[in-house]
Amino acid sequence: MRRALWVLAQVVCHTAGRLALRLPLIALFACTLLCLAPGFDSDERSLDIRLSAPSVAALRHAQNGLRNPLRMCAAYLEGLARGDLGESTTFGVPVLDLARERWPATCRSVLAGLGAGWILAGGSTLLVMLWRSRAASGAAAALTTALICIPAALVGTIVMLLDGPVEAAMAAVIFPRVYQYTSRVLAQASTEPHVRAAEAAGVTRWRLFWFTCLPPALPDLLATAAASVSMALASVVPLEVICDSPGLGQLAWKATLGRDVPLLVFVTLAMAAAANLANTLADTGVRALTRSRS
Amino acid sequence: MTARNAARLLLASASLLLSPLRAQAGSELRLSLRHDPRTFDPALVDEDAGETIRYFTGGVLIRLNRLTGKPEAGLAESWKVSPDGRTLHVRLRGGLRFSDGTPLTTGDVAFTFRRLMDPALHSPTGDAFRSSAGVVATVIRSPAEMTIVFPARVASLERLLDQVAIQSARSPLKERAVAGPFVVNEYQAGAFVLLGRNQNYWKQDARGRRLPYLDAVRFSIQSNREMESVRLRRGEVHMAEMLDPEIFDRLKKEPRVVAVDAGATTDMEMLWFNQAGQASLAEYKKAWFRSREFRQGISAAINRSDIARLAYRNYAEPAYGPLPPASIWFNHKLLPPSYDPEQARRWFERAGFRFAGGRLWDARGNTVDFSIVTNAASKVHGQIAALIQQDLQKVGVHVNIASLEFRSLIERIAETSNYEACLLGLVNVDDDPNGQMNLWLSASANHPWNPSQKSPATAWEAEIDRMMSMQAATADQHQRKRVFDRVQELVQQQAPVIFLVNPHALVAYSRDLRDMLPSPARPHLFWNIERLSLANSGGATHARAALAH
Amino acid sequence: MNAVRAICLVVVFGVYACALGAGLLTGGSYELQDRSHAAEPPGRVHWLGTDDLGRDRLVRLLYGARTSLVLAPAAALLAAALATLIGSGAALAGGRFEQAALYLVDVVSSTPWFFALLLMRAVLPLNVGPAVSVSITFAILGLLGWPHGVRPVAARSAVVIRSEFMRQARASGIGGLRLLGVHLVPNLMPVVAAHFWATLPAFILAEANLSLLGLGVAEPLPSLGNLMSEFRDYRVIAERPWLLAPAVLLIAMIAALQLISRKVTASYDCT
Repeated sequence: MRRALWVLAQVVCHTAGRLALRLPLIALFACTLLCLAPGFDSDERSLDIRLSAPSVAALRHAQNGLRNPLRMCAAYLEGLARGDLGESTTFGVPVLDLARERWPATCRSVLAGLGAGWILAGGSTLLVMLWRSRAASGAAAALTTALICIPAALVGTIVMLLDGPVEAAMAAVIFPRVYQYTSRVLAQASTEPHVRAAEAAGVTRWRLFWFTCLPPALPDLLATAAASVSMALASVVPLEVICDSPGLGQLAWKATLGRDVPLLVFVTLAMAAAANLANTLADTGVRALTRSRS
Repeated sequence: MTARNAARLLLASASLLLSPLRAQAGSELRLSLRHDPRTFDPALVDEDAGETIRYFTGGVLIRLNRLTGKPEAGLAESWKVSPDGRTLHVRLRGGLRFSDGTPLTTGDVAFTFRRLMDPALHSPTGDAFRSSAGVVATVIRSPAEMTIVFPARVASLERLLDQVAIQSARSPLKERAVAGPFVVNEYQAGAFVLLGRNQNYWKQDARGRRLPYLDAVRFSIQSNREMESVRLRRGEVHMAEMLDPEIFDRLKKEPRVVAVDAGATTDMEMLWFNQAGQASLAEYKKAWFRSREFRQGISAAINRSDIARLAYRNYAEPAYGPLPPASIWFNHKLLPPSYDPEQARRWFERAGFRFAGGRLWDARGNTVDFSIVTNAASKVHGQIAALIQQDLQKVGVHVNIASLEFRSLIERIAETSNYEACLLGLVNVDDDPNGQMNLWLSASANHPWNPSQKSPATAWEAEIDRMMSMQAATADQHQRKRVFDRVQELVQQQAPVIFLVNPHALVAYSRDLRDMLPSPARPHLFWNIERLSLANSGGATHARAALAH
Repeated sequence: MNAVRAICLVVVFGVYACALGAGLLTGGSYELQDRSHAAEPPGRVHWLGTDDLGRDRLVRLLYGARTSLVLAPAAALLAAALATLIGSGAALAGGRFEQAALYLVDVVSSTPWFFALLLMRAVLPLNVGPAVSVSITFAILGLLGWPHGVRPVAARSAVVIRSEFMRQARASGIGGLRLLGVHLVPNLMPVVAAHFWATLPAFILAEANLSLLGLGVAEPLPSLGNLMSEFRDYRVIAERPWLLAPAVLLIAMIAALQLISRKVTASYDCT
């Protein structure tokens, strides 16, 4: 118990340290790209033919002078330190309010989607390895290949048309990609000499999988888990936009189109923090596992 | 029960459980907004979503009937516009109240106009009234009678009043106190806007029943047009406007949906060349774009009928000029648009170009090629660009299509002038020539081919400037028509903008809606919102329909 | 060679041959518009029908396959190579170098690269040809697609580095690039292959999404990605099932290539 608490404390400190080192640079990169990208200080309202010349000039003048990434980033981080996330220029409400409203939907879709995706991928891999049937392996490969070839946005559309939840769309995106990794990693693990020796000695396939193939593959699987979190966070944007799920992904897209700096930087940092937490946990696990085996 | 029916029943039951939208009971109209309203302040509204909310919630002095085009009394019981177009006398109805119960008087009307006409506010609605500098004067004779004096003549004053929602000068709710049929009850950013009936709305029907008939209106924020059409088919929304031609054709086959082609709008698709002096283009290209014969040649080489037929599935008309033939301001002496590659070649030869090896060459030995920038998010624009590319290839002109993200496109055409030709649509809210002032005046920032000129670069632009100012200054409608006819002739002769097509207004609505009268003018479907009603309500309809089969 | 693998090889070579020889096979151009036969179903003249502008779908499918099936694998290979180099190099170097590499991965994968793509479009001349534009698109995808693969590669590298044969190689005096290239990287092939096969279709599809940004394949050049962007409603597919041809081709190609590659990557396993 004490050891577990000690490990947990280490993970928390490690994560906090990593975030403290990474987030300012991510914020700076995001602000820099935003400022340099074309259309930053353009406003589609300026194309309104009803507007007089002074009104158009006032619109354009309002955006001038904001295109300084360092100043933008410094102001944002200073506000972040005070707990002020700024106000969204797209929605006209504080970013903190938007975040509070939206994060549960994204959390739900990402966690449920990841969980379902991993259960499907793990279950499929297990079945294929237990049966050792070419037909089963072929069927799983065909299904996952077909799913990978469908764009995430189209998966979301199909799920919407079938009245399914966004979590189902997320699972459909995660499952084939994770299966690609797990099936290869565990297939390779099953060809290790000690596994073949155990099989020759009469160990059942069930025991072989859980006690002989799986443990050495755990570092790979942990790393894949961290990578799948990044995949899920990347997919959350098109899925929430298509499925009309009021989460952070939908906010990210609207912020991108509207060049909404406070909102976009916040969503970027939030997703980076989530990905980093997953990576930290994976890295800690991988280190612990490889240390224990060496 | 067959397996098929069992599956349908299961699906219907599951969909009832899973889809809270379908389970809505009560007289609630459901429709979509393509994006969040930027503001609920009616004076500052400058985009579709905000204008829609303003239409539902704003009480106006005069409302335009979208079918007849005639102004009808709103909050104003009667009104009179002076012959010089500067003065408006208004008599309000008695007993008017805002949604929070505060009385609506001439003081509020005066407050609204003073605020609207404040140049510092930069209101698009206010700018439409402001034909010159100066302040608006209001003379209040009584809580019901007043006079508004504008600094200069306001063309089509009555039509413009349709866009002015009267705001309260005293209510603590500020812009949330409204005088229209509905009031904003709830707004969740990125999700929905919910309107409720305004219990203090002044209007009644012929039987003395208070309007509106509907209890509530729910706008879901839905930018995906395909999903909007799916939700219309499923009964989750009751109406959709500005449909893509492909989606419209699919909805026509739906038994529960009425799909209507409401006719040609005043919107237009147009192509223009960059003639700005500061444009970072090669001098020889600038010379091409400034040549009238070159532009006429390009115009003659484009097959507008094919654009209307293929890109718009016949839901568009080849464009003559800035207005469609159905408009009262249209110049019927304009030549009809024609597709004539031989005529195009003759125009090019007149401009000093020659044909050799299947390519068009200018006098300096350069092959004629240019890029067209357009909006990457618009499938229709991509198709139009591909059609133009093929048409111009037949006359030896090579075109490169550069589809850009919208803000990047705006930066190029409106700020850096870093483009060669642009293909874009124009939304014309009002076909009155005054509504197009900023399009034709050479000093305007929205003068497409050469914005913000200190003085007109050409004699014909100076002529157009003079004509547009003349039509704005006179109250004689016949004189205005004659002058604007001349502008249309000049534009057709000089072709600074190549007009392609006028798209139709494609709309669809649920058969459950009553008193629907689609109009080609915006808003197409809900212009008579206070009189619309729903025959059925709630999602139970869908389950019963599934079981019935 | 078993029958399944033989069939896969035939499929792959057949598709590549048809795609690369699209011009010779069809005699038509992907941009030619037969406007009097627009949006037609499959028939004698147009075997897969025509699109909304009267362009032959089969011709566009073959040219689209050429664009996607040549450039997307190149981009996926670039991404996989970068992930392998960075991941294995970091694991081999260990310590602070590994931490620095993972730091870089976290920062790069978190940055909204959408704006970098917009910036790239702004820098490119407007008159750049569609072939150049699409090549640059896939190059950018390759340069941005490596972060996801680094962690699995680094984790696998950490396991391989601690294996007996690696210790023996080090003890024999083998180090640096030879250790990396001859002993480490071949044993990473299953993980690298998984990353490659996950990113290959993603790049083809990402190119279609990039068209919305002004990058991606510009009209009139077709690609599998922009041909598949017609799938927006299942009813369209039900009425016009031939629209599925690009998706069927893509799935068949990816599946065939994967089946072939499993044999190839298995032969790299030296442990």
